[in-house]
Amino acid sequence: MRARIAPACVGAVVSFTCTLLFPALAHAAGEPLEQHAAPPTAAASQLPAPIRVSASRVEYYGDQALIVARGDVRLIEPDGSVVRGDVFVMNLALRRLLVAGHVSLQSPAGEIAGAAFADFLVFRRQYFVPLEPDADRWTFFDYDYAQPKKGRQMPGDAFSIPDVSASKPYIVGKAVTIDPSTYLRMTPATFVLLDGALWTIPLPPYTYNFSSNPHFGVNALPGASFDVPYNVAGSPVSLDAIHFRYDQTLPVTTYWALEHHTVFGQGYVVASLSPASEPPKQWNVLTYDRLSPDSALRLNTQLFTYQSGLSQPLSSSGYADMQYNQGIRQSALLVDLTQSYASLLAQPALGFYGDPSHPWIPNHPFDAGFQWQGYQQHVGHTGFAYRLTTGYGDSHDGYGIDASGQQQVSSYYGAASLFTPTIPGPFKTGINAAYTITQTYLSFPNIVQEQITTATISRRVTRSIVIIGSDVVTSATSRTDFSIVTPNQAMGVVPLPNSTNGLPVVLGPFLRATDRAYGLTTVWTPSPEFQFSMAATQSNYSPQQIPNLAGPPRYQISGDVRMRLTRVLFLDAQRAYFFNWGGQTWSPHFQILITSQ
Amino acid sequence: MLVSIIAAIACIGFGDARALALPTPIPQASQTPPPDVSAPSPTPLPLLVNGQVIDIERGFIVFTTGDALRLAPGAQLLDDTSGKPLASTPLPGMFAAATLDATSGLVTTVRFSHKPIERGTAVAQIPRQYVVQASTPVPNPELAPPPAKYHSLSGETLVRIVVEVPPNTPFTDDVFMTTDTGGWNPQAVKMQRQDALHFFIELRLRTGSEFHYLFTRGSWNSAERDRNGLERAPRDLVIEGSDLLSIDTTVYRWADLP
Repeated sequence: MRARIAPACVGAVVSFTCTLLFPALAHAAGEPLEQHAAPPTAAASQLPAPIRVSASRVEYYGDQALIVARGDVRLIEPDGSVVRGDVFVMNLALRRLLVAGHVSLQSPAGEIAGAAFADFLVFRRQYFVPLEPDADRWTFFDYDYAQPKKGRQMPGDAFSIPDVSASKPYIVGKAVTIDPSTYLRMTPATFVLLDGALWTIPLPPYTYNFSSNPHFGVNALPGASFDVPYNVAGSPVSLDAIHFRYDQTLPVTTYWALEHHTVFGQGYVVASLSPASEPPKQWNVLTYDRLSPDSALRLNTQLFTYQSGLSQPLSSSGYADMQYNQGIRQSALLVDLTQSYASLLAQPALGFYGDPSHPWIPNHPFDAGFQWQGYQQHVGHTGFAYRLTTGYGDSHDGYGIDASGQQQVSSYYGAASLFTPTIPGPFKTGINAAYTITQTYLSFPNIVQEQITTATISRRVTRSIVIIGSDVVTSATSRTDFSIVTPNQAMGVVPLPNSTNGLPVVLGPFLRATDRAYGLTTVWTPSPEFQFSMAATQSNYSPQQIPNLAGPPRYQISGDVRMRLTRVLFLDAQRAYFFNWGGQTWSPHFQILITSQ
Repeated sequence: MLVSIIAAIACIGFGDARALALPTPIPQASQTPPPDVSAPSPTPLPLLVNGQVIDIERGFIVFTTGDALRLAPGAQLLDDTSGKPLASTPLPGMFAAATLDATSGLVTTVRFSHKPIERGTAVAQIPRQYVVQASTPVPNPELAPPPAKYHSLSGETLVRIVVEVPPNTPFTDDVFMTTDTGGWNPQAVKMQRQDALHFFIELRLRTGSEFHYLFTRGSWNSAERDRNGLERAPRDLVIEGSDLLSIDTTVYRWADLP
């Protein structure tokens, strides 16, 4: 529920993609600091964790990065000491906690009673106000409760309690486990939605991840129209989620899926299963590790099965793709190896499993690509820049490569791009242009060429209005319709899933095609709270523009509006109109994105 | 001053070269001695002390400053609005105005409210003799003045981020910012196109906050990469205390484009 929940406001006729991102400002500022302690030392950089809190009521305020608990508070500190009190407050931004009111501190050193206890996790300092035999101020170093530093001056805001009366919590429960730098797990989890208008029933434990490590956000799931993830488990290095999904393109549109994240050092492993509840399953594993500052290894695997539950699959196919990136002087190398299997199961006696939709296909091509990519280089002091790419690929399959019948195919390719700087034009406009040509030689034989020319002219009319005119010309030629179909990115062909036949998408059913798109885009941004853009495009496709078959819609207008809903939530809605192109009027996808910043 | 002059003359008389380095005595303006906060007035009046309370028990009322005042036996706990006795034990976090008998040093009456009470003197400002602390105060060398960048934590800063994208970015594609505050949703913040190569966004962010961000074209498959095609570390932005923060940055490559 961290990231995406659909509002139930979208019409049934219109397909949609709908995302609701809940308040998640885990690093928002907290209370003003009256005094700051010295910067943490390297030894103190590892935050003590986990912290466990139970109480009559525990609340997490996402927009303030606060956890507040009241009533019979019981806190278990990272060292195992137990602190009881009336109120618990933790500021996740400042990484400090407080227990106040009728406090008792139980530690290996004994039990002491007091008014308040605070723990500054970053600095490993604990502050305590004992009341027996008399009121005092004690400071402990690194949970050493046997040796209080009595009378030591404390930070002035050590015991301040923030006022949350004007805010609505995001999650409410009775117990929470906190890792101050990564996650909190609320048990049970009641979600407060729509600024307090809607409260869910208590749900199973929910893990809210607020790590600054972006690898927790890597997605291994295939696309869907609608996705509600629910994080069921987590740790400082892992996150497990169940996804409730809707996809209008599948035979069974509603299903659930699983995703797991493990992060380590500068790498990660992300695994997913989708749909988990339907026979056609896709199993994905993405792994990445940074081997050195200039090199990294990536392994992506996908497995497609048709099976009920975990029973014997009726069909199975998949591939593994391993990439090695190495930065060298002013350029980078990419080695990409791909092993694909059209059928991973043994050949059945009948040739198929009694169902023609599950044929046995023996092909298992191996693709190896090597690519050199130059950095963008300037042409003297002209402001122009260029970039070069070249590579070689080899595909081998004992059962023949696609429809060619050949067991081995090689590819050589090169690409060059030329970019202009922003050139001042008439009426205070700015003009940019970019040209890219890619040519690939395949040993089928075939020669595939694609050229893309983009020219734009833009002008800032007022401080809040920008108008951009564009002309994008995309053309391609191919001598035959043979190419290599592979997810390998270093073969010189258009990889899956961008192209399903390895040829430039602009070709469509033809061997020579050109698309020329003229566009006019207006962006109106009167304030950060409201943004609106509208784009009108006319596309002329040759040799023949055929609705839903060749070329894009002739005319289209698309609009996008983004506005602030609450202090942290924004609404982003976009849609396009195609002027009855092939019977198409409004775009099938009406996207609503509700997101926090 | 007279002593200094005599000493200087004496030094000159003995031929001591150091005497020449002695500064000419400068008449000092007489200073008014600071008020002795530790000395109560001869005829002490009750003090009204305000602050946020963290606990009231065992004969003490303790404020969020950590200052504990001793309660008089039978001290009255009242609702500040109605003036009637409190129906229940006050909760930590409530605000209070305590009447302190300056002679005995005991709190005789406490009026509680859920809103800050401005009447009286803040508890941190009262004479320290009324604050109960069993141990002798010890200075804390770790406490340092706040960094300048956190001076206006309570406000918001307008942050303008402009990003230059690679020239091979498809013109029809959108560019988004994914942030840790948005749960690394690859479509969390949509950038506005400025021209063919530049996108921008203006955000109002809480001053003093910190967030990390990367750019995408709508998915993690199209996230930005460094020049070598490797995944880059997120950018780190600390919203410092200013009215406007302008960030110019560059995306060198996209994951799905050569």
